[in-house]
Amino acid sequence: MEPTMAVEVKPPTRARRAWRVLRWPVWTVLALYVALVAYRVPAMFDKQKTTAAVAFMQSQKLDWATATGKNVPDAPDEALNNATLLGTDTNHNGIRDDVELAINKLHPNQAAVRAAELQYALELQLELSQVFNTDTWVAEAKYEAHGIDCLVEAAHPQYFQAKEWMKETEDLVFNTEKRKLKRQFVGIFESAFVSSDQASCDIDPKTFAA
Amino acid sequence: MLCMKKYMTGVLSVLLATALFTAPATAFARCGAQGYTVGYVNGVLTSRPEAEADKKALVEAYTARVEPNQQNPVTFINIYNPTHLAGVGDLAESVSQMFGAPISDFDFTVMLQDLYRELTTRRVLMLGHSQGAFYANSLYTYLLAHGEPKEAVGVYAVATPASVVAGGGFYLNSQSDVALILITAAAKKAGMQAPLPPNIDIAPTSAKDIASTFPGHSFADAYVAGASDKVISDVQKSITALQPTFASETDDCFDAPPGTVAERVEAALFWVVDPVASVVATVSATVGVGAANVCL
Repeated sequence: MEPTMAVEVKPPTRARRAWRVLRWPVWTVLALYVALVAYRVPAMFDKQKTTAAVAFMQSQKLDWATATGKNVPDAPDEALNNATLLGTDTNHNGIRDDVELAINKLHPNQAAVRAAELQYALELQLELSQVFNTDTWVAEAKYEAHGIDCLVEAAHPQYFQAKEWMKETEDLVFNTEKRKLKRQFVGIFESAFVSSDQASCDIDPKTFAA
Repeated sequence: MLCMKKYMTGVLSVLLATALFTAPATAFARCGAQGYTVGYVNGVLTSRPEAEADKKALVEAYTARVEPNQQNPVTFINIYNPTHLAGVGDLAESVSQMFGAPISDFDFTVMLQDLYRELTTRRVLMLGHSQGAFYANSLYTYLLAHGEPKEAVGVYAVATPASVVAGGGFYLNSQSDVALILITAAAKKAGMQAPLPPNIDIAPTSAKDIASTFPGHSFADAYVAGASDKVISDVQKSITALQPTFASETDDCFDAPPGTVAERVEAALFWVVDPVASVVATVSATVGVGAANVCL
Protein backbone atom coordinates (compact mmCIF):
# COMPACT_ATOMS: atom_id res chain seq x y z
CA MET A 1 0.00 0.00 0.00
CA GLU A 2 1.42 3.21 -1.12
CA PRO A 3 1.45 6.00 1.30
CA THR A 4 -1.08 8.67 0.46
CA MET A 5 0.22 12.13 -0.07
CA ALA A 6 -1.39 14.70 2.07
CA VAL A 7 -2.48 17.70 -0.03
CA GLU A 8 -2.63 20.85 1.88
CA VAL A 9 -5.72 22.80 0.89
CA LYS A 10 -5.29 26.43 1.61
CA PRO A 11 -8.41 28.24 2.72
CA PRO A 12 -9.40 30.96 0.25
CA THR A 13 -8.17 34.39 1.10
CA ARG A 14 -10.60 37.10 2.20
CA ALA A 15 -10.19 38.94 -1.11
CA ARG A 16 -10.95 35.80 -3.08
CA ARG A 17 -14.04 35.14 -1.02
CA ALA A 18 -15.19 38.71 -1.57
CA TRP A 19 -14.61 38.43 -5.33
CA ARG A 20 -16.63 35.18 -5.46
CA VAL A 21 -19.56 37.05 -3.96
CA LEU A 22 -19.12 40.25 -5.91
CA ARG A 23 -18.15 39.01 -9.36
CA TRP A 24 -21.70 38.34 -10.56
CA PRO A 25 -23.05 41.75 -9.63
CA VAL A 26 -19.98 43.36 -11.22
CA TRP A 27 -20.38 41.37 -14.44
CA THR A 28 -24.10 42.12 -14.50
CA VAL A 29 -23.55 45.86 -14.10
CA LEU A 30 -20.91 45.81 -16.82
CA ALA A 31 -23.17 43.84 -19.16
CA LEU A 32 -26.04 46.26 -18.53
CA TYR A 33 -23.75 49.21 -19.15
CA VAL A 34 -22.49 47.78 -22.43
CA ALA A 35 -26.07 47.02 -23.52
CA LEU A 36 -27.12 50.59 -22.72
CA VAL A 37 -24.15 52.00 -24.61
CA ALA A 38 -25.12 49.91 -27.64
CA TYR A 39 -28.71 51.12 -27.31
CA ARG A 40 -27.62 54.78 -27.21
CA VAL A 41 -25.15 54.76 -30.12
CA PRO A 42 -27.81 55.49 -32.79
CA ALA A 43 -29.11 58.38 -30.64
CA MET A 44 -25.56 59.74 -30.45
CA PHE A 45 -25.28 59.56 -34.24
CA ASP A 46 -28.49 61.55 -34.41
CA LYS A 47 -27.16 64.06 -31.90
CA GLN A 48 -23.96 64.55 -33.88
CA LYS A 49 -25.96 64.98 -37.09
CA THR A 50 -28.17 67.52 -35.30
CA THR A 51 -25.17 69.49 -34.02
CA ALA A 52 -23.70 69.57 -37.52
CA ALA A 53 -27.02 70.69 -39.06
CA VAL A 54 -27.49 73.46 -36.48
CA ALA A 55 -23.90 74.66 -36.98
CA PHE A 56 -24.47 74.69 -40.75
CA MET A 57 -27.68 76.72 -40.38
CA GLN A 58 -25.97 79.26 -38.16
CA SER A 59 -23.12 79.61 -40.65
CA GLN A 60 -25.52 80.65 -43.44
CA LYS A 61 -25.71 84.40 -43.93
CA LEU A 62 -26.83 86.61 -46.76
CA ASP A 63 -23.74 88.13 -48.38
CA TRP A 64 -23.40 91.68 -49.65
CA ALA A 65 -22.92 90.68 -53.30
CA THR A 66 -26.16 88.69 -53.33
CA ALA A 67 -28.09 91.41 -51.48
CA THR A 68 -27.02 94.04 -53.97
CA GLY A 69 -27.54 91.91 -57.06
CA LYS A 70 -23.84 91.67 -57.93
CA ASN A 71 -23.77 87.89 -57.85
CA VAL A 72 -26.79 87.06 -59.99
CA PRO A 73 -26.90 83.51 -61.39
CA ASP A 74 -27.96 82.59 -64.90
CA ALA A 75 -31.54 81.43 -65.34
CA PRO A 76 -31.64 77.72 -64.51
CA ASP A 77 -33.12 75.00 -66.65
CA GLU A 78 -36.63 74.87 -65.19
CA ALA A 79 -37.12 71.13 -65.59
CA LEU A 80 -33.73 70.36 -64.09
CA ASN A 81 -34.20 72.85 -61.27
CA ASN A 82 -37.59 71.45 -60.31
CA ALA A 83 -36.56 67.82 -60.67
CA THR A 84 -34.85 67.77 -57.30
CA LEU A 85 -35.89 68.89 -53.85
CA LEU A 86 -33.06 71.37 -53.44
CA GLY A 87 -32.89 72.61 -57.03
CA THR A 88 -29.88 74.43 -58.44
CA ASP A 89 -27.72 77.02 -56.74
CA THR A 90 -24.93 77.71 -59.19
CA ASN A 91 -23.53 80.76 -57.36
CA HIS A 92 -23.41 78.81 -54.06
CA ASN A 93 -25.00 81.47 -51.88
CA GLY A 94 -27.57 79.12 -50.34
CA ILE A 95 -30.50 80.57 -52.34
CA ARG A 96 -31.99 78.61 -55.20
CA ASP A 97 -31.24 80.32 -58.51
CA ASP A 98 -34.87 80.60 -59.65
CA VAL A 99 -35.89 82.11 -56.29
CA GLU A 100 -33.04 84.60 -56.31
CA LEU A 101 -33.85 85.77 -59.83
CA ALA A 102 -37.56 86.06 -59.06
CA ILE A 103 -36.97 88.16 -55.94
CA ASN A 104 -34.59 90.46 -57.81
CA LYS A 105 -37.24 90.89 -60.49
CA LEU A 106 -40.05 91.51 -58.00
CA HIS A 107 -38.20 94.21 -56.04
CA PRO A 108 -35.65 95.85 -58.33
CA ASN A 109 -35.88 99.23 -56.60
CA GLN A 110 -36.50 98.24 -52.97
CA ALA A 111 -33.07 97.17 -51.75
CA ALA A 112 -34.11 96.58 -48.12
CA VAL A 113 -37.14 94.49 -49.07
CA ARG A 114 -35.17 92.56 -51.66
CA ALA A 115 -32.40 91.78 -49.16
CA ALA A 116 -34.94 90.77 -46.49
CA GLU A 117 -36.73 88.42 -48.91
CA LEU A 118 -33.42 86.93 -50.09
CA GLN A 119 -32.43 86.33 -46.48
CA TYR A 120 -35.78 84.70 -45.75
CA ALA A 121 -35.44 82.55 -48.89
CA LEU A 122 -31.99 81.42 -47.75
CA GLU A 123 -33.44 80.42 -44.39
CA LEU A 124 -36.49 78.70 -45.90
CA GLN A 125 -34.23 76.61 -48.13
CA LEU A 126 -32.79 75.11 -44.93
CA GLU A 127 -36.24 73.74 -44.10
CA LEU A 128 -35.78 71.54 -47.16
CA SER A 129 -32.24 70.45 -46.43
CA GLN A 130 -31.49 70.48 -42.71
CA VAL A 131 -34.62 69.61 -40.70
CA PHE A 132 -34.98 65.97 -39.66
CA ASN A 133 -36.04 66.01 -36.01
CA THR A 134 -37.55 68.34 -33.40
CA ASP A 135 -34.20 69.83 -32.37
CA THR A 136 -33.34 70.82 -35.93
CA TRP A 137 -36.91 72.07 -36.45
CA VAL A 138 -36.62 74.37 -33.43
CA ALA A 139 -33.13 75.53 -34.45
CA GLU A 140 -34.37 76.28 -37.96
CA ALA A 141 -37.46 78.09 -36.60
CA LYS A 142 -35.25 80.32 -34.46
CA TYR A 143 -32.90 80.93 -37.36
CA GLU A 144 -35.74 81.66 -39.80
CA ALA A 145 -37.06 84.25 -37.33
CA HIS A 146 -34.16 86.53 -38.32
CA GLY A 147 -35.48 86.86 -41.87
CA ILE A 148 -39.05 87.33 -40.66
CA ASP A 149 -37.96 90.06 -38.25
CA CYS A 150 -36.00 91.69 -41.07
CA LEU A 151 -39.14 91.76 -43.25
CA VAL A 152 -41.20 93.27 -40.42
CA GLU A 153 -38.54 95.95 -39.93
CA ALA A 154 -38.75 96.77 -43.64
CA ALA A 155 -42.56 96.91 -43.46
CA HIS A 156 -42.93 98.96 -40.25
CA PRO A 157 -45.59 100.14 -39.51
CA GLN A 158 -47.51 98.38 -42.34
CA TYR A 159 -47.17 94.95 -40.70
CA PHE A 160 -49.60 93.23 -43.07
CA GLN A 161 -47.10 94.05 -45.82
CA ALA A 162 -44.45 91.91 -44.11
CA LYS A 163 -46.82 88.94 -44.12
CA GLU A 164 -47.45 89.43 -47.83
CA TRP A 165 -43.71 89.46 -48.53
CA MET A 166 -43.31 86.36 -46.38
CA LYS A 167 -45.98 84.55 -48.39
CA GLU A 168 -44.47 85.77 -51.64
CA THR A 169 -41.10 84.28 -50.66
CA GLU A 170 -42.61 81.05 -49.32
CA ASP A 171 -44.52 80.55 -52.57
CA LEU A 172 -41.29 80.94 -54.54
CA VAL A 173 -39.30 78.51 -52.36
CA PHE A 174 -42.02 75.87 -51.98
CA ASN A 175 -43.09 75.92 -55.62
CA THR A 176 -43.42 72.23 -56.48
CA GLU A 177 -45.44 69.40 -54.97
CA LYS A 178 -42.25 67.75 -53.76
CA ARG A 179 -41.12 70.90 -51.93
CA LYS A 180 -44.59 71.56 -50.50
CA LEU A 181 -44.79 67.98 -49.25
CA LYS A 182 -41.37 68.25 -47.66
CA ARG A 183 -42.48 71.38 -45.81
CA GLN A 184 -45.56 69.56 -44.56
CA PHE A 185 -43.41 66.61 -43.56
CA VAL A 186 -40.98 68.66 -41.47
CA GLY A 187 -44.08 70.13 -39.79
CA ILE A 188 -44.45 66.87 -37.86
CA PHE A 189 -41.44 67.95 -35.79
CA GLU A 190 -43.18 71.20 -34.75
CA SER A 191 -42.94 71.92 -31.06
CA ALA A 192 -43.54 74.68 -28.53
CA PHE A 193 -40.38 76.69 -27.86
CA VAL A 194 -39.16 79.93 -26.36
CA SER A 195 -36.78 82.18 -28.24
CA SER A 196 -35.02 85.25 -26.89
CA ASP A 197 -32.94 85.67 -30.04
CA GLN A 198 -32.97 89.36 -31.04
CA ALA A 199 -31.05 89.12 -34.34
CA SER A 200 -32.76 90.18 -37.56
CA CYS A 201 -31.26 91.47 -40.83
CA ASP A 202 -27.94 89.92 -41.88
CA ILE A 203 -27.19 93.20 -43.66
CA ASP A 204 -28.23 96.41 -41.93
CA PRO A 205 -30.88 98.06 -44.18
CA LYS A 206 -29.32 101.46 -43.40
CA THR A 207 -26.32 100.47 -45.52
CA PHE A 208 -28.56 100.46 -48.62
CA ALA A 209 -29.66 104.04 -47.99
CA ALA A 210 -26.07 105.25 -47.79
CA MET B 1 -35.55 32.09 -8.74
CA LEU B 2 -36.70 34.40 -5.97
CA CYS B 3 -33.07 34.88 -4.97
CA MET B 4 -32.15 35.79 -8.56
CA LYS B 5 -35.00 38.32 -8.73
CA LYS B 6 -33.87 39.93 -5.48
CA TYR B 7 -30.33 39.98 -6.74
CA MET B 8 -31.27 41.62 -10.03
CA THR B 9 -33.43 44.20 -8.23
CA GLY B 10 -30.48 45.02 -5.99
CA VAL B 11 -28.11 45.42 -8.90
CA LEU B 12 -30.51 47.68 -10.79
CA SER B 13 -31.10 49.79 -7.69
CA VAL B 14 -27.36 50.32 -7.24
CA LEU B 15 -27.01 51.25 -10.92
CA LEU B 16 -29.90 53.71 -10.81
CA ALA B 17 -28.80 55.25 -7.53
CA THR B 18 -25.29 55.76 -8.91
CA ALA B 19 -26.67 57.34 -12.05
CA LEU B 20 -29.06 59.61 -10.17
CA PHE B 21 -26.46 60.81 -7.71
CA THR B 22 -23.88 61.48 -10.38
CA ALA B 23 -26.27 63.27 -12.75
CA PRO B 24 -25.45 66.93 -13.16
CA ALA B 25 -27.48 69.56 -11.39
CA THR B 26 -28.80 72.04 -13.95
CA ALA B 27 -27.33 75.37 -13.08
CA PHE B 28 -28.56 78.48 -14.83
CA ALA B 29 -27.49 81.19 -12.51
CA ARG B 30 -29.26 84.34 -13.49
CA CYS B 31 -32.35 86.22 -12.54
CA GLY B 32 -31.20 89.81 -12.70
CA ALA B 33 -32.71 92.89 -11.10
CA GLN B 34 -32.04 94.97 -14.21
CA GLY B 35 -34.37 94.96 -17.19
CA TYR B 36 -37.66 93.40 -18.11
CA THR B 37 -38.76 90.46 -20.22
CA VAL B 38 -41.96 90.57 -22.24
CA GLY B 39 -43.00 87.09 -23.35
CA TYR B 40 -45.38 87.06 -26.31
CA VAL B 41 -47.63 83.99 -26.49
CA ASN B 42 -49.51 83.60 -29.78
CA GLY B 43 -53.02 82.25 -30.21
CA VAL B 44 -54.64 79.47 -32.23
CA LEU B 45 -54.33 79.12 -35.99
CA THR B 46 -51.21 81.27 -35.95
CA SER B 47 -48.39 79.76 -37.93
CA ARG B 48 -44.89 79.94 -36.53
CA PRO B 49 -43.76 82.60 -39.06
CA GLU B 50 -46.89 84.66 -38.27
CA ALA B 51 -46.23 84.39 -34.54
CA GLU B 52 -42.69 85.66 -35.03
CA ALA B 53 -43.93 88.51 -37.26
CA ASP B 54 -46.51 89.44 -34.59
CA LYS B 55 -43.86 89.57 -31.87
CA LYS B 56 -41.58 91.64 -34.07
CA ALA B 57 -44.43 94.06 -34.86
CA LEU B 58 -44.80 94.55 -31.10
CA VAL B 59 -41.05 95.20 -30.78
CA GLU B 60 -41.13 97.71 -33.65
CA ALA B 61 -44.15 99.53 -32.22
CA TYR B 62 -42.52 99.61 -28.79
CA THR B 63 -39.14 100.89 -29.94
CA ALA B 64 -40.87 103.55 -32.07
CA ARG B 65 -42.67 104.91 -29.00
CA VAL B 66 -40.48 104.30 -25.97
CA GLU B 67 -37.02 105.73 -25.42
CA PRO B 68 -34.51 102.94 -24.84
CA ASN B 69 -33.62 102.52 -21.18
CA GLN B 70 -29.99 101.45 -20.81
CA GLN B 71 -30.46 100.65 -17.13
CA ASN B 72 -33.55 98.54 -17.66
CA PRO B 73 -33.69 97.25 -21.22
CA VAL B 74 -36.78 95.38 -22.36
CA THR B 75 -36.21 91.99 -23.97
CA PHE B 76 -39.04 90.61 -26.06
CA ILE B 77 -39.18 86.85 -26.30
CA ASN B 78 -41.37 84.58 -28.34
CA ILE B 79 -43.18 81.84 -26.43
CA TYR B 80 -44.40 79.79 -29.35
CA ASN B 81 -47.70 78.01 -28.96
CA PRO B 82 -47.75 75.45 -31.81
CA THR B 83 -50.64 74.54 -34.07
CA HIS B 84 -51.97 70.99 -33.79
CA LEU B 85 -54.02 68.96 -36.28
CA ALA B 86 -54.27 71.92 -38.66
CA GLY B 87 -55.93 74.00 -35.95
CA VAL B 88 -58.57 71.46 -34.86
CA GLY B 89 -56.41 70.45 -31.90
CA ASP B 90 -55.97 74.10 -30.91
CA LEU B 91 -59.68 74.82 -31.01
CA ALA B 92 -60.38 71.77 -28.84
CA GLU B 93 -57.62 72.88 -26.47
CA SER B 94 -59.11 76.41 -26.34
CA VAL B 95 -62.56 75.10 -25.44
CA SER B 96 -61.06 72.91 -22.71
CA GLN B 97 -59.10 75.92 -21.42
CA MET B 98 -62.33 77.94 -21.27
CA PHE B 99 -63.68 75.21 -19.00
CA GLY B 100 -60.51 75.49 -16.94
CA ALA B 101 -59.43 71.90 -17.67
CA PRO B 102 -56.85 71.79 -20.49
CA ILE B 103 -56.76 68.55 -22.51
CA SER B 104 -52.99 68.42 -22.65
CA ASP B 105 -50.15 69.89 -20.58
CA PHE B 106 -47.49 68.93 -23.09
CA ASP B 107 -47.04 72.30 -24.84
CA PHE B 108 -47.26 74.09 -21.51
CA THR B 109 -44.50 71.94 -20.01
CA VAL B 110 -42.22 72.49 -23.02
CA MET B 111 -42.85 76.25 -22.80
CA LEU B 112 -41.89 76.24 -19.12
CA GLN B 113 -38.76 74.17 -19.65
CA ASP B 114 -37.63 76.52 -22.42
CA LEU B 115 -38.63 79.63 -20.50
CA TYR B 116 -36.54 78.39 -17.59
CA ARG B 117 -33.48 78.42 -19.86
CA GLU B 118 -34.22 81.75 -21.58
CA LEU B 119 -35.50 83.96 -18.76
CA THR B 120 -32.76 86.21 -17.39
CA THR B 121 -34.68 88.97 -15.62
CA ARG B 122 -36.69 88.84 -12.45
CA ARG B 123 -39.39 91.09 -13.89
CA VAL B 124 -41.45 89.37 -16.55
CA LEU B 125 -44.67 90.26 -18.34
CA MET B 126 -46.62 87.56 -20.15
CA LEU B 127 -48.42 89.03 -23.15
CA GLY B 128 -50.99 86.58 -24.41
CA HIS B 129 -52.93 87.03 -27.64
CA SER B 130 -56.20 85.12 -28.14
CA GLN B 131 -55.76 81.53 -26.89
CA GLY B 132 -52.25 82.59 -25.83
CA ALA B 133 -53.98 84.52 -23.03
CA PHE B 134 -54.98 81.21 -21.41
CA TYR B 135 -51.34 80.13 -21.51
CA ALA B 136 -50.27 83.53 -20.15
CA ASN B 137 -52.65 83.04 -17.20
CA SER B 138 -51.36 79.50 -16.63
CA LEU B 139 -47.72 80.62 -16.88
CA TYR B 140 -48.42 83.31 -14.26
CA THR B 141 -49.97 80.76 -11.90
CA TYR B 142 -47.10 78.32 -12.39
CA LEU B 143 -44.38 80.96 -11.93
CA LEU B 144 -45.91 82.22 -8.70
CA ALA B 145 -46.14 78.70 -7.35
CA HIS B 146 -42.54 77.93 -8.28
CA GLY B 147 -40.36 80.76 -7.08
CA GLU B 148 -41.41 84.01 -8.75
CA PRO B 149 -42.63 86.72 -6.37
CA LYS B 150 -46.09 88.10 -7.16
CA GLU B 151 -44.84 91.66 -7.62
CA ALA B 152 -42.32 90.59 -10.31
CA VAL B 153 -44.74 88.91 -12.72
CA GLY B 154 -47.60 90.37 -14.75
CA VAL B 155 -50.01 89.42 -17.49
CA TYR B 156 -51.36 91.53 -20.33
CA ALA B 157 -54.05 89.98 -22.52
CA VAL B 158 -54.99 91.06 -26.02
CA ALA B 159 -58.11 89.73 -27.80
CA THR B 160 -58.59 87.39 -24.88
CA PRO B 161 -61.32 84.76 -24.82
CA ALA B 162 -60.64 84.24 -21.09
CA SER B 163 -62.92 85.68 -18.44
CA VAL B 164 -60.04 86.85 -16.24
CA VAL B 165 -56.51 88.22 -16.52
CA ALA B 166 -54.24 86.57 -13.98
CA GLY B 167 -52.89 88.93 -11.35
CA GLY B 168 -55.46 91.57 -12.30
CA GLY B 169 -53.47 92.68 -15.35
CA PHE B 170 -54.69 94.89 -18.18
CA TYR B 171 -56.48 93.56 -21.23
CA LEU B 172 -57.57 94.87 -24.61
CA ASN B 173 -60.62 93.45 -26.38
CA SER B 174 -61.99 95.19 -29.43
CA GLN B 175 -65.68 95.59 -30.10
CA SER B 176 -64.94 94.91 -33.78
CA ASP B 177 -63.09 91.65 -33.09
CA VAL B 178 -65.20 89.11 -34.97
CA ALA B 179 -63.59 86.11 -33.23
CA LEU B 180 -64.48 87.54 -29.82
CA ILE B 181 -68.03 88.33 -30.95
CA LEU B 182 -68.47 84.69 -32.04
CA ILE B 183 -66.81 83.27 -28.90
CA THR B 184 -68.95 85.45 -26.62
CA ALA B 185 -72.15 84.34 -28.36
CA ALA B 186 -71.09 80.66 -28.23
CA ALA B 187 -70.04 80.88 -24.58
CA LYS B 188 -73.39 82.42 -23.57
CA LYS B 189 -75.27 79.75 -25.51
CA ALA B 190 -73.23 76.97 -23.88
CA GLY B 191 -73.53 78.49 -20.41
CA MET B 192 -69.78 79.03 -20.18
CA GLN B 193 -68.05 82.09 -18.80
CA ALA B 194 -67.95 84.73 -21.52
CA PRO B 195 -64.75 86.56 -22.48
CA LEU B 196 -64.01 89.89 -20.83
CA PRO B 197 -66.17 92.66 -22.32
CA PRO B 198 -64.79 94.88 -25.09
CA ASN B 199 -62.94 97.95 -23.84
CA ILE B 200 -61.93 99.49 -27.17
CA ASP B 201 -63.22 99.71 -30.73
CA ILE B 202 -60.45 99.33 -33.28
CA ALA B 203 -61.31 100.31 -36.82
CA PRO B 204 -59.75 98.11 -39.52
CA THR B 205 -56.53 99.52 -40.92
CA SER B 206 -55.90 97.18 -43.82
CA ALA B 207 -57.75 95.28 -46.51
CA LYS B 208 -55.84 92.17 -45.46
CA ASP B 209 -57.39 92.31 -41.99
CA ILE B 210 -60.89 92.88 -43.38
CA ALA B 211 -60.46 89.93 -45.75
CA SER B 212 -59.16 87.59 -43.03
CA THR B 213 -61.23 84.76 -41.51
CA PHE B 214 -61.74 86.72 -38.28
CA PRO B 215 -61.46 90.45 -39.04
CA GLY B 216 -60.28 92.59 -36.17
CA HIS B 217 -58.66 89.67 -34.31
CA SER B 218 -55.08 89.61 -35.62
CA PHE B 219 -52.49 90.79 -33.12
CA ALA B 220 -50.30 92.72 -35.57
CA ASP B 221 -52.77 93.57 -38.34
CA ALA B 222 -55.66 94.65 -36.08
CA TYR B 223 -54.53 95.46 -32.53
CA VAL B 224 -50.96 96.73 -33.05
CA ALA B 225 -51.74 98.35 -36.40
CA GLY B 226 -54.96 99.95 -35.17
CA ALA B 227 -54.23 100.73 -31.52
CA SER B 228 -50.48 100.68 -31.10
CA ASP B 229 -50.48 103.65 -28.70
CA LYS B 230 -52.88 101.84 -26.37
CA VAL B 231 -51.05 98.49 -26.64
CA ILE B 232 -47.65 100.03 -25.96
CA SER B 233 -48.96 102.22 -23.17
CA ASP B 234 -50.53 99.16 -21.49
CA VAL B 235 -47.29 97.19 -21.86
CA GLN B 236 -45.29 100.08 -20.45
CA LYS B 237 -47.66 100.52 -17.49
CA SER B 238 -47.62 96.80 -16.83
CA ILE B 239 -43.84 96.42 -16.79
CA THR B 240 -43.09 99.57 -14.78
CA ALA B 241 -45.42 98.28 -12.06
CA LEU B 242 -43.26 95.17 -11.63
CA GLN B 243 -40.71 94.99 -8.82
CA PRO B 244 -37.46 92.96 -8.98
CA THR B 245 -37.98 91.41 -5.57
CA PHE B 246 -35.47 88.69 -4.65
CA ALA B 247 -33.47 89.21 -7.82
CA SER B 248 -30.37 87.08 -7.87
CA GLU B 249 -27.26 86.64 -9.99
CA THR B 250 -26.80 83.14 -8.69
CA ASP B 251 -30.25 81.58 -8.45
CA ASP B 252 -32.75 80.55 -11.09
CA CYS B 253 -35.86 82.66 -11.62
CA PHE B 254 -38.15 79.72 -10.96
CA ASP B 255 -38.19 75.96 -10.71
CA ALA B 256 -38.69 74.24 -14.05
CA PRO B 257 -41.11 71.32 -14.27
CA PRO B 258 -39.13 68.34 -13.00
CA GLY B 259 -40.44 65.77 -15.47
CA THR B 260 -41.81 62.37 -14.50
CA VAL B 261 -39.82 59.90 -12.40
CA ALA B 262 -39.35 57.73 -15.51
CA GLU B 263 -37.96 60.69 -17.46
CA ARG B 264 -35.57 61.57 -14.66
CA VAL B 265 -34.32 58.00 -14.34
CA GLU B 266 -33.88 57.80 -18.12
CA ALA B 267 -32.02 61.13 -18.20
CA ALA B 268 -29.75 60.02 -15.36
CA LEU B 269 -28.96 56.69 -17.02
CA PHE B 270 -28.24 58.37 -20.34
CA TRP B 271 -25.99 60.85 -18.58
CA VAL B 272 -23.82 57.97 -17.45
CA VAL B 273 -23.94 56.10 -20.75
CA ASP B 274 -23.92 58.86 -23.40
CA PRO B 275 -20.27 59.96 -23.16
CA VAL B 276 -19.12 56.43 -24.01
CA ALA B 277 -21.86 55.97 -26.64
CA SER B 278 -20.82 59.27 -28.19
CA VAL B 279 -17.20 58.12 -28.48
CA VAL B 280 -18.36 54.84 -30.03
CA ALA B 281 -20.54 56.76 -32.49
CA THR B 282 -17.69 59.08 -33.44
CA VAL B 283 -15.24 56.22 -33.90
CA SER B 284 -17.79 54.24 -35.90
CA ALA B 285 -18.54 57.24 -38.12
CA THR B 286 -14.83 57.80 -38.64
CA VAL B 287 -14.21 54.27 -39.80
CA GLY B 288 -17.31 54.42 -41.95
CA VAL B 289 -19.52 52.09 -40.03
CA GLY B 290 -23.20 53.09 -40.05
CA ALA B 291 -25.20 53.27 -36.86
CA ALA B 292 -27.30 50.32 -37.93
CA ASN B 293 -24.28 48.09 -38.29
CA VAL B 294 -22.73 48.89 -34.98
CA CYS B 295 -22.50 45.73 -32.91
CA LEU B 296 -20.92 45.73 -29.54
